[in-house]
Amino acid sequence: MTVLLSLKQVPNIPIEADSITPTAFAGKTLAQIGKLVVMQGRNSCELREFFEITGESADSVEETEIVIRGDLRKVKQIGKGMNGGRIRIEGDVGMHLGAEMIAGRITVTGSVDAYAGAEMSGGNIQIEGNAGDYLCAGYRGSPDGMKGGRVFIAGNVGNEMALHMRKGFIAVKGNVGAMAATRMKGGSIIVCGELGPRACIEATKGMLFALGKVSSLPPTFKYSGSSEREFTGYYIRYLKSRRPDFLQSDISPSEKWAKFIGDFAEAESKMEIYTRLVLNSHLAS
Amino acid sequence: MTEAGNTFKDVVCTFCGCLCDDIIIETEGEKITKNTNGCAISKERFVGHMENRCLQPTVKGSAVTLEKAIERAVEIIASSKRFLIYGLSSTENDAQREAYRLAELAGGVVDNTTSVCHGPTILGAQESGETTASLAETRHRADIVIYWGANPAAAHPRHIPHYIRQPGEYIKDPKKDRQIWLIDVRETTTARMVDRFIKINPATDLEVIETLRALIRGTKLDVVEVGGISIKDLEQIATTMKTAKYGVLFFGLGLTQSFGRHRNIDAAIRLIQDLNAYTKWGLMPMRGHYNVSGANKTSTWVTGYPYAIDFARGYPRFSPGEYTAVDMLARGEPDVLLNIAADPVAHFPRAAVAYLAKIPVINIDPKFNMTSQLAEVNIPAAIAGIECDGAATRMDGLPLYLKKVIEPPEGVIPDRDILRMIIKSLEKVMK
Ligand code: SF4
Repeated sequence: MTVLLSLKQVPNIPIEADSITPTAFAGKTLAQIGKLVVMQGRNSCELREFFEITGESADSVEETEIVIRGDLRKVKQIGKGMNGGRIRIEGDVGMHLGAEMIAGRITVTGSVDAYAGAEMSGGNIQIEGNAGDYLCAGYRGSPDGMKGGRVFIAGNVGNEMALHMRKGFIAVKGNVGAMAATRMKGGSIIVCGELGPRACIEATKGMLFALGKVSSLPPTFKYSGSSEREFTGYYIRYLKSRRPDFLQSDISPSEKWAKFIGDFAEAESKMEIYTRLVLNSHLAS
Repeated sequence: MTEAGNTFKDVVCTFCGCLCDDIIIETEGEKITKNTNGCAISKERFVGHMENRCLQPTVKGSAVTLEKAIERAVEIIASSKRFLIYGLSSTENDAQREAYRLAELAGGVVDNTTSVCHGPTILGAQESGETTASLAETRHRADIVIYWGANPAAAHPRHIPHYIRQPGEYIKDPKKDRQIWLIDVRETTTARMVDRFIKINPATDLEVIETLRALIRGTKLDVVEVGGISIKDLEQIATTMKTAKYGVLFFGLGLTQSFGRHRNIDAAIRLIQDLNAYTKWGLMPMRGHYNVSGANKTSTWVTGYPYAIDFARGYPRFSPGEYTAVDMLARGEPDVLLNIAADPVAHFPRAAVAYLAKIPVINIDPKFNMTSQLAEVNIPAAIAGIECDGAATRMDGLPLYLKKVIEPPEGVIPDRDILRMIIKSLEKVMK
């Protein structure tokens, strides 16, 4: 059952709406939902002051779907710590979307600001627009970034994506900014567009598949040969089964992959970067 | 207070993060006549302390009493939803502590100038810790000192002559026994003062540092050159660093504000940590404003976080990039700014300044600056370390007591007292 939230007008001062989660909504009437707390600056306000609330609420988290409409760029922390249920956002949305998420599903038709999916440990996020900096990153001072879950971005992503990533899966159809997968220590990433500079710096473990152009890699990564690689096909097939639109052209099973390992600045150097040799022969020497 | 008539010895200079504490100040009546030992900037700061002074509180450009100015400031703060305090790096510790109290009381955000200078240093330290040294330790022990992306000749004039090119307990001849290197993207004036200048290509600091780390581990890499330096030279640099008895790396804005920012610092910290597996190394930021280091310390003591702190929920939260003044202003979030001992209008990017023009600004500073032209409320303050006492923290973390050497201008009080007055009347309004 679906609860529909329509933003009445763009707030002049950003609001923090971490109360918008299926868990908080389940088992409440629309009137009770309207009284959930959101913060605007130092003032604690009610959800209904900012949103028109219609639809039908459900008893359980699993049955709860929240649809949010409007220009939500000044609304932060939607779906923070979300544990089950569904959120669908029709428009652009502010920082920390789905941060610390545990389970459930978030879809966004527009773009998201920084720290979307930060430190998430499960669930699924699909973003049709772009994502800002620190997508699926760890917060300042945390040793672990993303710890699980799957994230699909149809647009481009900013800098320092997947900082400190430990587990999980990220696929990006567009380009990725600088210093992606910094200090990564597990999990896997597919980038279909161009991979920005300094990827995987200080990363110790994990896999990154670059299907597009890679202009440079850190000097502390070493080339470890080019060949057909059976298991890359497994990741490509998985992506194709979920989001066929992410792959612009077919990648043949006989595709040659140039492999790089690093980061040799670290004591452990088991990060693997696979790039398509046809597009990136300049890296392999 | 007066030592030997109107001569004050061992005065701490409150201009840059060196906080030289050997300045001799002579005064005559209400004038400072002489500064001995200080560098040119220090002389200007002391002898010229009355230049360009703001002497009268104003509201919307008209002169008012101090009480009236405070009253208006309190009105503005009380009616705000998202109150921002910024600055604090050119004032002393007690004023900083009052600023945190005010932020907590008003449920606002408090940020210091770290966010536009050495913020990356702190983010780096939060990732990887700190391997630090003191300036005295450096002078006594270091047989190699490296400056990276810093230009002390211009920004910290006495850093080399007063702390580094000085004999110490174990370094008898600072010219022979101590090597000073500079790594930078251009040949600055500091390059002429050091024993070796290593030029690297712009925006390659991170690559160079990571390469050094790999080489120190003894790894052979594929590359033949990084950042414009051949791998042979890098190997030699790595070996020198590894075989030093005691090294210190000083870094400046060339490292913190170039491509990579906090990643550069994180890498530099880890380079120093790696070196400590073989020998002893320390790392120190060349902090610019005299007490920006203190702003981070006092903030961490009081709130648990060094800058970019939000009290909107009653407890402190930390999120640089979100609660940093420059980012908040550029996104149009705060509805009031209280600026203290900084000049955001002069230093912030255009989008942030354009937004500043739209909201009420309260400005507390001893001098006229670009922010005072825009501020609705201007309140003059006494200069700490000259007209009132206080405490400040040197770039290596050493707290020093600041002396008062002369009376402030008539009716002008220290900024900590101004903040206390604001807090006192705001408490009445907000309860
Ligand atoms: S180096 Fe800095 S602290 Fe020392 S006298 Fe010069 S300005 Fe003052």
